[in-house]
Amino acid sequence: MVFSQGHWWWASLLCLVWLGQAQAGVAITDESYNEDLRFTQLPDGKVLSEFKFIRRIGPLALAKVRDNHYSLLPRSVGEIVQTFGVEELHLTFTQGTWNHQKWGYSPLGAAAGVQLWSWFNTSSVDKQWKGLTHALAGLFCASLNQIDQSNTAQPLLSFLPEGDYGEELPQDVLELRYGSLPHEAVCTENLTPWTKLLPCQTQAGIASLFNAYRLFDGHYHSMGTHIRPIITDDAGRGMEFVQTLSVVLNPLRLDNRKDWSLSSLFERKIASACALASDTKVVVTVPSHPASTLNSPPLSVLTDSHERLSAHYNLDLSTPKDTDFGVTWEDSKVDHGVNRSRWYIDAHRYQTGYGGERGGLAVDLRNHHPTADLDIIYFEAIPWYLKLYLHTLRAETAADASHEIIKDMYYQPAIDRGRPAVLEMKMTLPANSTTTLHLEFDKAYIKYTEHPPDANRGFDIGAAVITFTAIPESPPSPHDIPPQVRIHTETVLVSLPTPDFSMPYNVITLTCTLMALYFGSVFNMLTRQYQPVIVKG
Amino acid sequence: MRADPFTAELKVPAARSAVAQSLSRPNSEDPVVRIPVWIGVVLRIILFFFTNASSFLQLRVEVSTPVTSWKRLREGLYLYQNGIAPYEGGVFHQAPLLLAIFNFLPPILIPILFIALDYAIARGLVEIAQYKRKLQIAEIWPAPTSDDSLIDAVPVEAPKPEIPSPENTPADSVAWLRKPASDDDVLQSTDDIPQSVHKRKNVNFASQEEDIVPPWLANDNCRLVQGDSAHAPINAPQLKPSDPTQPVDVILHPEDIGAMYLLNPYSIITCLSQSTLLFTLIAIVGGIQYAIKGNRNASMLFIAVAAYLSFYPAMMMAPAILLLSTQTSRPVMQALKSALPLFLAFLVALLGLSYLLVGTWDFLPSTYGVILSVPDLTPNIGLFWYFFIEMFEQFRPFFLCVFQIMVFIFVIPIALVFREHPLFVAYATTAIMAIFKSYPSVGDTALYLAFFTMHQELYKYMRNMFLVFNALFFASILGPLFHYLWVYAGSGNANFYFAITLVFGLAQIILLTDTGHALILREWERLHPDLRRKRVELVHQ
Repeated sequence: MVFSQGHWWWASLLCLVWLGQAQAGVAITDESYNEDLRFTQLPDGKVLSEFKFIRRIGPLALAKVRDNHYSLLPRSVGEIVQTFGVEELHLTFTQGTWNHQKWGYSPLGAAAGVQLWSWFNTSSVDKQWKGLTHALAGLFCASLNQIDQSNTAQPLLSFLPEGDYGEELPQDVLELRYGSLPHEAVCTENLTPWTKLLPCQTQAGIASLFNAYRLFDGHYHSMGTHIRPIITDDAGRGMEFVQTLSVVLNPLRLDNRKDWSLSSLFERKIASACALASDTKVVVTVPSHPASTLNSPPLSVLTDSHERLSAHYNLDLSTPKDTDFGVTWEDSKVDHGVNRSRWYIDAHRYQTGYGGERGGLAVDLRNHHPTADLDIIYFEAIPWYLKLYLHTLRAETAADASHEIIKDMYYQPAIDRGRPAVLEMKMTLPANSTTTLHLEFDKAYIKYTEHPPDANRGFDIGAAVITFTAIPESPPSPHDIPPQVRIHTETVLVSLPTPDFSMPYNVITLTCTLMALYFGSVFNMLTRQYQPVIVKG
Repeated sequence: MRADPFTAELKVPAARSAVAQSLSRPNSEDPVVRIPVWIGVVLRIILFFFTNASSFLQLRVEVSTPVTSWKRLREGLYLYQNGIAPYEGGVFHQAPLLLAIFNFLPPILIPILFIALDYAIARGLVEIAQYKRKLQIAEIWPAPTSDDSLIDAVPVEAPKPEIPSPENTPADSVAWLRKPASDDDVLQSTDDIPQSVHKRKNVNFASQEEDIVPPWLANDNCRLVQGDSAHAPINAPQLKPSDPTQPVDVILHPEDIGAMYLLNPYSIITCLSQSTLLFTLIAIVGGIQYAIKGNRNASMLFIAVAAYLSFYPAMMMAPAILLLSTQTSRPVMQALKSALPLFLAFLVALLGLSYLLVGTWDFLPSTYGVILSVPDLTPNIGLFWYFFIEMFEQFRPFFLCVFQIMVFIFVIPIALVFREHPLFVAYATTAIMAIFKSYPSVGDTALYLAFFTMHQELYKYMRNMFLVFNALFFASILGPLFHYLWVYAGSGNANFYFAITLVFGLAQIILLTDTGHALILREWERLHPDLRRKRVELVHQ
């Protein structure tokens, strides 16, 4: 029995070790981190780089998060999500406008400035929304706290939940808030806190390419933070935390050649793979054209039916340091790039009218489809200082539309200093036609304290959002077929009439003088009496 | 045209000596006297249907305020018809029952409705003027007693010789002193003094008569038969023809007041802009008109409608109750006690009806709340907008209270002091509203100018008519110009337009106080027959 006693000790010890390993193993599979980088050379020679940092937090890890035990998920993000009852959060910082006509569609395209929308599963949503914007303002060093009730909207159709909610959470208990700051300038101060949320920060992995000097030198820059619930294999709801960054850089600017490499675009190379990433993928998409050569041999090459050539690379810890990718063109005059998938819908928005008193908004909505009428949802949140006249709304089309273009409309009138006007319309655009929406507004005269310091620059009106079900114009590559496609119009700059900012004291004194004159002279009139008096010489 | 300040002044001397004829003139039975009124109506029809003046004026800040604008009413109507709560938003601030009116009105009838409203306002003003005419005729000027102990006891010193004699005309009563006509008159008998003044006046007018007669009066009956009318026998016993110290007044032609209103450019552009202010104006006029008739119910209904539409006309209770008490020969307090519950009942009924119409009480903050708290700072001709654009945020509630109290503070004092003159109280109240309401427009000005023209006997006691009407005239011309420079051309800033609204307000305040002083002076003269030509001074009580 001595023998067996010793065995029992060993067995129990082994058992403990095994149990511990098993637990560690569960924890590892419950959370995962992937990096994904895609380069696409656009038809005009510009290079679009799309960075994606995907973290999947399983239900077990999420349960630990509730006990304040964080591993992959940044604590600052986890606390925000828990404190404010956020189920889903989408925040983008964007500079420049994504050019749909030239560049095709990008799932990372967003409205200029800051755009934030979030689904809440909580009571007192307005309070939580306010807390959320303030917390995010602190987290990202942005003026997100300026998203208050006066520019918060609740779209009904345009922003549906994107996560998997499973059975136990019906989506009708969720509440949506949408806010945007079109005038927000995005800069390094927002990028730095954003990169600090990455597991390897900018020390390793694809994020080591982040050179702020080059990123903010591009034609378009959009930085996104997305949180949504997912259902993993284990029963229970997990969370997906995705950080995205897309930037359009122009290699032609220096030497008028379309050649590019990481070092020419970013003045950096990928230092090494991030050790925490289970998978680091780099895809370079070029037109399959004999004039183009990939700088480094890819792991695999796929050619799709649309003459696009995708070179796949995988980075891991064995990859040599300072890896560089790129494309060299034999002939700089070759004038075609990758045709990204396009949808049939285009939109442009502009201002009409002149003068400081009133104006109008016009939106050109184009349906390129040769035969099919397409349904879209048009969403617009216009700040209260443009007083919309809904009775002036009209939709004009060149096509002989036998049916109504505007199928359904949801309109929430603005309240002065309280909330924006929200216009959401279901529209059917006739095939192969341009529909123009016209809407008139009065410009409000606002208090002198409500003007920004650069009052004569004007006010930015946030982009309108057009949502539709995707019908691709050209076969898309498998990774970019979203269920709902959103494109954004341009922001519009509207100048409001300004008072004289140097005058408050003068105005107060002059007007009060008039009031005093009135009071004094009427008081005088009411209290005087005539008396005969003796007048001596 | 006739409401133009210059012609209004001209009319005084032109018809000054026509007392007898105007008394005997048939009261608005002669169709000729109605011509100016119909010119006003035809002018509106032409401008409405043959020019695009209406669509231009609808957008002018001088006429279309946030609480009366036609474009905003259309927006409210559109929202209402499409099942969107019109009062939830920040655009529509007008009373719910207006929605009910325009909901069923075919578009072609809308201009006709506004013209009809303006015509009805003019007819109401004519009826009020008929009452005023009766008052004028019935006005009693006590005759001077033969022995004036005061005058005899205190010989009045002669005025300084360097004072020029033309100032002796009553309209120019310098420094509120009424001086004897000449140096020699002082120690003469009391009978002589006024006669000499009287003669001097006659000479003056006789010499100027040919120049003064305006063309539209050239064929007027009263002018044709005038002759040397100052010495013509006057049949009306009330006018004391034997008393030469009494001022010679024009007896009002009621139709002229209607014409004054309908030809006033302010009221023309208000009508053309389809401002819903006209509904308020007709309710005010109706309230006064029925108070004159002694019809308490109708009067209170109209005033309740006016108060319901734009809040401030609740002040019209003061003149209406004074009129009701005089017309029904009851004490004021008794009239108030019987009328006030009625007014409140009508008001509550109107609000209840509105509630039934829109199904929510949201309209209360969106109409009266907006009028009181002035969140919409769109420029108008008033004093609020720029003041509250420039106001420091922490003082905003304080000054809002001060400004709103300022509107109401003098209503009761004025009603008490001028209780013998309810129509003057009506004039003063409408003028105060037009100057100090939060969203005034020139339509308010047009209304009180009509009441002003009813008090023609006061013109010659007023000191600042020239200044006032020049200021009004130039402000009316420069206002749109400066607004254009600010908002469209960008070559001027907001101060330009603000300065013009200040001038406009200043002119109206001077007009109001000047008229008040003139009435007090005239009343004093009337009630102190023995001192009429003596030197008196205004002192505090």
